[in-house]
Amino acid sequence: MLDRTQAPAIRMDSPVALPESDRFLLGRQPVVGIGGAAQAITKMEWVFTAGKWCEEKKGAAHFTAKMLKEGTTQRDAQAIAHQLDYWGASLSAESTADYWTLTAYCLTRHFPDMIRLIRELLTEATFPEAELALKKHLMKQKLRVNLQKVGFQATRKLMGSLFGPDHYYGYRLQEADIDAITTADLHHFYQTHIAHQPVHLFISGQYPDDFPAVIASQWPELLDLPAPNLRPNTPLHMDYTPGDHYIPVPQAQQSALRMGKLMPHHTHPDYQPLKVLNTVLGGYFGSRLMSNIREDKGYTYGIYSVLHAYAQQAIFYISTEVGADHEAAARQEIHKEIEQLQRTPIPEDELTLVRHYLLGNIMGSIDGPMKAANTIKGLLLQGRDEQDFNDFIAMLRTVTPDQLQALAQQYWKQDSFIEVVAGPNQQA
Amino acid sequence: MQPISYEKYQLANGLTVLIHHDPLTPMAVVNTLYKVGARNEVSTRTGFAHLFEHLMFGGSQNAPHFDAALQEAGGNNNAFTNNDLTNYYDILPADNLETALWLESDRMHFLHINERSLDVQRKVVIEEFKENYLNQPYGQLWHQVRQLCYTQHPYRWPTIGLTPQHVAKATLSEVQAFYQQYYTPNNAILTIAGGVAPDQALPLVERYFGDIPTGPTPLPDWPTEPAQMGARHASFEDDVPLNMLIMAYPMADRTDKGYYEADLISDILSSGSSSRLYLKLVKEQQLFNELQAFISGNLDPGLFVIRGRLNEGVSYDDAQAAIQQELQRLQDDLVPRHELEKVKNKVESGYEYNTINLMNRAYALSYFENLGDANGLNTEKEHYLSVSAAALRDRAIQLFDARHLNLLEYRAKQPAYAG
Repeated sequence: MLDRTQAPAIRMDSPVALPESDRFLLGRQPVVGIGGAAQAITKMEWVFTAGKWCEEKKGAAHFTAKMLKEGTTQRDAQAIAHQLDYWGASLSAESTADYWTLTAYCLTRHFPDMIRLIRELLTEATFPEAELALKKHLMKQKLRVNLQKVGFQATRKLMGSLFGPDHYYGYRLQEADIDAITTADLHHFYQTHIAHQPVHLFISGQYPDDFPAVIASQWPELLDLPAPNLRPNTPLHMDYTPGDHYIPVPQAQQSALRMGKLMPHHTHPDYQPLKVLNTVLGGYFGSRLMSNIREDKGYTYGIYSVLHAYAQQAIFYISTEVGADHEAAARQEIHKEIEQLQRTPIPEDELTLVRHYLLGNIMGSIDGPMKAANTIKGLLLQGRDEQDFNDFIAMLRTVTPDQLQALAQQYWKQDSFIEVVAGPNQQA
Repeated sequence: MQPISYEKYQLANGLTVLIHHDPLTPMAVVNTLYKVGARNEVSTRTGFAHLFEHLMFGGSQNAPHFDAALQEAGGNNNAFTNNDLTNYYDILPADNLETALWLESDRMHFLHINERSLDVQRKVVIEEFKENYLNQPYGQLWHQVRQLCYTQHPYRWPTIGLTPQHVAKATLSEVQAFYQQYYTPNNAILTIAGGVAPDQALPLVERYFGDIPTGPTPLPDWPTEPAQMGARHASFEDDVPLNMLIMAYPMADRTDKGYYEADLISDILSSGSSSRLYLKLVKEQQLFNELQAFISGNLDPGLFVIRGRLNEGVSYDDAQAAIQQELQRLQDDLVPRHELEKVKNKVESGYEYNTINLMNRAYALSYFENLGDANGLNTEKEHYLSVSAAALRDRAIQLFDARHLNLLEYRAKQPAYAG
């Protein structure tokens, strides 16, 4: 007879290890490959050490990425779009503050064709005027829609206040920035940082065994490039002014709250255990913030906290949208939850739960070639490797409540935060 | 494409069980689909199915903390409600599959329904309503479109509900009755996918679900939508930066061949940057800031929707005429062979992409089983690949009949951006 009152036994002792990957140099360009997927799809990520950090003008990295498919010396935008759609493939480029990445998915049988197209886009893009004018127009319209969202306004203010509104980690494009971008800016960024520049390649899913030979034959110049550098994974020494900011949005029904601060760099020994502490506070659905402010009080649909590492600086922030009449109460509860972590060690059963939750998450993050390649990419770009992955798991199994309490006391001092509210309430 | 393999069983109490074994993954997914959605709601309690989904996380008799118990087993979970169904999924290390089965079976029969949990979740859902529908630019869109297009069928409200008041008024006894009517083994499809073999998983399923009693068989008791006899026109003003135009036409139900044809027509119009609407109306004529054609994807007869944001200074008349011209082209000319091949290729590669993720595979099997046969996941693309250019033209003529148009002008209060 089944006894439902007894929870089934839980096993979390299976070893968790990164899968084997193919690692080699194509010329001097590092390649990481993880194959063996059941679906005949190839994923590629071509990662350049370029981004907002090396722009001469705000928006150059972003628009170079968004304009990449708008024309080459051989084909116009329509021909490129038609070719990709005909293959049922997808290709897009994105720029972050630190890196500029072309991501492509295609059926494995189209791999050689796809390499030819990628080579063309990454060496012969033309950035036509008319297409840029349209992209700028669309982006301005999108910005206007975003500016109506309390969350967008609050996040922009927080990041600008932490890093300075012009810093590559702090800025968000404004209309004037978008207006100022020209095709010459894009050509300059592209020629300096993308075309014939060193690159890291991550390839996953299913791919032909001879794919290095395929790339070498389609793209021989690639083999002559020097080795790529990573962004320096060393801290910037920055400062910011804690305090409150209020953005009035009179017609809004909810207030967006953002509370954040700079954190020790990801190479600092405290950074990895801080990930565990962040999870306890607001990093998962069962977190203290979610349990209290959503599940107990019903003030919000969601609240979470994030610890994020840029190459040169890490940040921590809490983010939520709450009913405007709950704004003050929600802020008070957030502070109470932080104080609680400073005052009392996390109970062992809660910490066990968080350890298991994070272990399950890590297992999920390496499940299948594409996810595993993504996890390895994240490690390598931070100058880490398999050993760091294993070290994190070891730390996760052994970190103590006392250690985490000490971290909460050291890094989450109440007067060290910038707090932003965007919403309808009048404040002095 | 390799077909997705699975075993199908039915327990004595009526629970349908699908098991998909993937020996390469150390994870397992438990997906539970209940055949109840917003179309089962009464018109004075809209939003109820979705509110109920929230209550399913409030704990059950033997497992008072659903999320915590799953997280402790290394898992996480979520759920969604749409007009037709409610779906719950758990993903966790395959070693701990039993924990998910214990939790899902306990809340299928022993859900702890109480005033406190109802009170909090009413508030949470009302905040969700504000965050996604009231405090969001164009957040009222679907409320407006549905009320225009449907006069009888419960698709006339979105899953969040017509108004927060309906959710605010939900009572404990209504919740109890809903649970007893719809949350039964015979109204559910349980799919287990991942690193667990059927001969391991099935005895566990029997153990945890086998003793749950069969419930009443819910019958479709909602009205069908009468055929639309004339074009409808509505206008709505909101605090948004740009005017939006929506043109919606009634279309076939999910299992009709007209469904696949309409889906391909929407791809020809707007899938990818080589699609007709993008090239002509966004890029070349620059009438729209963004423009999409898509189908609502419902089980009962749904909608073919064209939605676009007008660029500043563009009139509704010009915008509509330009779209009509593209719809007319589909009725006058056959889609060229190369273009038809393109959208069919995309359907094929789409199936490959969609089955990479274990959770997608588990949900897709449940979804197709709910349509009548889980194997539809492996065979459905044949319906798309066999469509001819002539069939698309005939479908376009039937679909875009002027008498079936529902046109909504979602107007910006201040036409010019004021800062």
